Amino acid sequence: MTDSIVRVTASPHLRSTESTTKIMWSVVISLVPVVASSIFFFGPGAIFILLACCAGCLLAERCFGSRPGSLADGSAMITGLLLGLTLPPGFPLWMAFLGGAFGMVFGKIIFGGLGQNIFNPALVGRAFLQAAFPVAITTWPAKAEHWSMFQGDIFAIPLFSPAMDAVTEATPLGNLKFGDDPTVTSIFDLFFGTTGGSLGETSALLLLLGGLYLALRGHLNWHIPVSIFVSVFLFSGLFFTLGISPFPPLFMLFSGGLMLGAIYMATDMVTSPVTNRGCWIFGFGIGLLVTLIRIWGGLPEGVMYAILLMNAMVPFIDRATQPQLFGSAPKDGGKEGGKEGVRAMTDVVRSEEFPVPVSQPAPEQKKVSTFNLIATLTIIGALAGLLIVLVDQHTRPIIDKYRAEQLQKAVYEVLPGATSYATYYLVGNSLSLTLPQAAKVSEYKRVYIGYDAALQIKGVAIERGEPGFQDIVRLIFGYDPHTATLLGMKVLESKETPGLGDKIFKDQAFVDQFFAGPQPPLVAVKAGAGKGRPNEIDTITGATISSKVVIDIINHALQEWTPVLDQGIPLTPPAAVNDEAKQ
Amino acid sequence: MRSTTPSQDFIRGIWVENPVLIQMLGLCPALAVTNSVKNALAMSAATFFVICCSSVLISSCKRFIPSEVRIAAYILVIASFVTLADMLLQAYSPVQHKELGAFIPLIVVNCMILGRQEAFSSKNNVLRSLLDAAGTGIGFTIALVMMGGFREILGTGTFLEIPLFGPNFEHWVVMVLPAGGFLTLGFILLAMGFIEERKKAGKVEKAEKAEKSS
Amino acid sequence: MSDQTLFSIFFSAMIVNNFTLALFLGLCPFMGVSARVETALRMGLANIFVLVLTSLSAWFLNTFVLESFPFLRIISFIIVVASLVQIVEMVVKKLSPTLFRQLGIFLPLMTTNCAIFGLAIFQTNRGYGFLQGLIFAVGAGLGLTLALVLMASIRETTELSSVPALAKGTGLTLIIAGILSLSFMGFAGML
Repeated sequence: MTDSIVRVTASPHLRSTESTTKIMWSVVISLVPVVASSIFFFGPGAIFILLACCAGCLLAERCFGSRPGSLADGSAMITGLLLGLTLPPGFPLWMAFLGGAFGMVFGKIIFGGLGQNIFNPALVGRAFLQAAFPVAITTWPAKAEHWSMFQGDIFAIPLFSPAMDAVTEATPLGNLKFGDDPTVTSIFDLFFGTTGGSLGETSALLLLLGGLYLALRGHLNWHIPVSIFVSVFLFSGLFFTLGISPFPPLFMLFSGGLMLGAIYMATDMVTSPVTNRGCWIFGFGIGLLVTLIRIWGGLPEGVMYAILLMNAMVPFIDRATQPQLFGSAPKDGGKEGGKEGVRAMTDVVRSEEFPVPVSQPAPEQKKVSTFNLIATLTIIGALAGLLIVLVDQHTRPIIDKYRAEQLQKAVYEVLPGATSYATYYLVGNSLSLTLPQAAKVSEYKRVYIGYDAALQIKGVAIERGEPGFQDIVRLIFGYDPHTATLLGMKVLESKETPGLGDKIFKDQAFVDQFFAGPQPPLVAVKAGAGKGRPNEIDTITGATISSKVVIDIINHALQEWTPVLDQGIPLTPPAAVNDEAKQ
Repeated sequence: MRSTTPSQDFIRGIWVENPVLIQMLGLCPALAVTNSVKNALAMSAATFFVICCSSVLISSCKRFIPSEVRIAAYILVIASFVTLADMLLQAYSPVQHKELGAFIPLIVVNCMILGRQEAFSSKNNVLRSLLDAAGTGIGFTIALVMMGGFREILGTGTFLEIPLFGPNFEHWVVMVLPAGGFLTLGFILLAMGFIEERKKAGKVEKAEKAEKSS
Repeated sequence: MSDQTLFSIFFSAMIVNNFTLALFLGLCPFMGVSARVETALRMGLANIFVLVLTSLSAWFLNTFVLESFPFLRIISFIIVVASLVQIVEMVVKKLSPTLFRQLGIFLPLMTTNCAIFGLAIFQTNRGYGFLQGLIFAVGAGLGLTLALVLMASIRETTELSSVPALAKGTGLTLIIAGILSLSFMGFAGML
């Protein structure tokens, strides 16, 4: 056997110098200026936060990653860096670590690892942190006295709350959206990064330079950031000129996480569309969503959500923009999957005689007369009905009594000093004690007029519900029509965010304001920024939307009821007061 | 006649054929009301009541229910008991009733209950049906309490409203939000799968060792 | 009559409080839907149709019958839902046998679909009027369809991935649902 003179190898025979690892590391290199700027602006704490995120990612990859050697390809490092750059300075390290680990495991590893994830892993981690620790992640501490000092409480004990700085600084975006004296931060500041914000968001210039570097090396699909910038500019410009948005288009472009998101997150090759046409759709979708959420949403920033939502649509976009191969039929979509849940249920339902649409010859059985069938069902129905009626007789009084008690308690709470009340319905345009014959009680709006022990009128209690931050907020408030002041407020139903929005009933100081006789129409002011006017209500820090909802509900209710109340309210109680509120 | 013993009927619903974690039935309540252990227990209790009563009733009347209308009949029976549970809960525990909200009536469409009637109660005697229903109900409770415990401990730092970690514990707010429900159940299933894999790997190792030594 | 505006009812039901991702209704088809976008789309549309009919029937029952017999609410609602599904099944079979075969087992399964029954209950609890209820049903149905289609298209892609064995199937679906739910939280406070 002679040594082979000819070397035989399998194709490909010409290899490019590119590899996944190389691309990943070039992205890391492009991020170096941004990382350096974050340390420059925010002190050495920044590098700790970035390292914590990377540690979380790398550890997760090491423990749960499916491919040996996957650590070296740099993708975990990038996820960690990008996640860290979206976090505010002063963010506790243990939370950063957790976010990194979560993002890696649930954003990447669980999908099968590199190249197979649907959602951007850094953003998955960020979304988790936003939902899990909403207060910490929206706290931007004011600049420290000296550069080398650590901001915030980054060394907080794991699983325990960080100490809150007394002084915080709003980001440019937050300031314009929620601030009391909204000012548009100068574009110069935004471009060079001398503003507050998250670690990597501030310097648009450096981000653009990094993106340019990647684009020139061919590691970045420029269609995506360009389409995002174009669409953000167009949509925000449109809304700004129409006067419905306070954000000028250039401001929109350079503030917040848009630069970072557009250049580094949206362009992630795995989670973005394959074709350029798809990329433009993708980019426009992100731009539209960012604009909508920033203008109308409850949070100051929307880039993360916009990108995640469009990530979810990428499989759809890819299918829609798939170029049709010459000479072939459109690709078949996927395979029918039989999943355990449905299988279990289909076992239930597919048993012999259930009316399954697939035609099967029904097994021979004794013919049962229709009369028999109907009779059986009727008997069962009758017996069931009887049982229910019996129990109802027993429980209805208890339920009604409880309901009346709760209503009474609420009315007395918002009309301090009241000892009795009467229910008045809005019939036509005036108040009436009674309803027209055969009327449905639930169709009529009502108010409760409270009287004190001397049978003098105390005030009017009005109930109303409107959508809040999470779901509908329902409250009752007391109003004195003669002095046109509020007497009290009680939140009846709320599903607002625990720890933030739920302060509208948990924060005694907030609730007490409504008992101090403010004069509607109410105006929301930031705590401490008010001018002491009688119509001002301080909002809860961190729960501006929920606070404003409470104020809006009261204002809207009074808009509706004042014309009616002005017509005249029965000053003396009717003969039968304190009747159980009919439901 | 069934080939299983009565005690097997009871035990299998608890874990091996756990309705939520293995059969993936009754997911709507499992995710919706498990943001605290108290809610999880209340829902489990109501469901336990409904499933046991329905099983007993349907099993005792199975001879009288013609096959063509049996699904309709089962649904009628289940709906009646759900109405009873709803009324009783509203009367005797109004706060809990408000917390659970619309999900008490939704017990009617819990596939788990209908499934037990169809698969078991309609073909077996009353005692066995009761055991089967009770086992399933307990399995449901276990699954819900697991989820509720996980979500409540991380989400509010309490268990049955007893604070566990002191006032400075940072609540993982996401756990009491809908996303947390999905992630918790997903995490529990993943953990169960992981344990299964470890067991299998352990068995394979043992078999290999046995082979080597033999 | 609720004080909510029609737009806010619609937008809330479809996006902000999406029936599947925020209220956990309609999970059975959501988990078990095959990884085919076409089927998911058709399933969603069938759901919208049944939801609208359910909303109408629920309003009718609430207004004319159940004021006097409120304790019959649950029973009457489930009977209505079951009958509606049966009727829709027959209509679909007549009009489009192909669609009928494609939907297969999912059609009768709508009877135990929490979303349909849940819609009737939510509508009653929130006190929606006739038009409000209809808009609610349409919004909820569209939201459900959106969630189904997103999940189906994502599942199509992950079918071909090397998902770790312990996550295959429902585990992964739940995590995806969790991430989708997190993403939809971006719409909070929009109303």
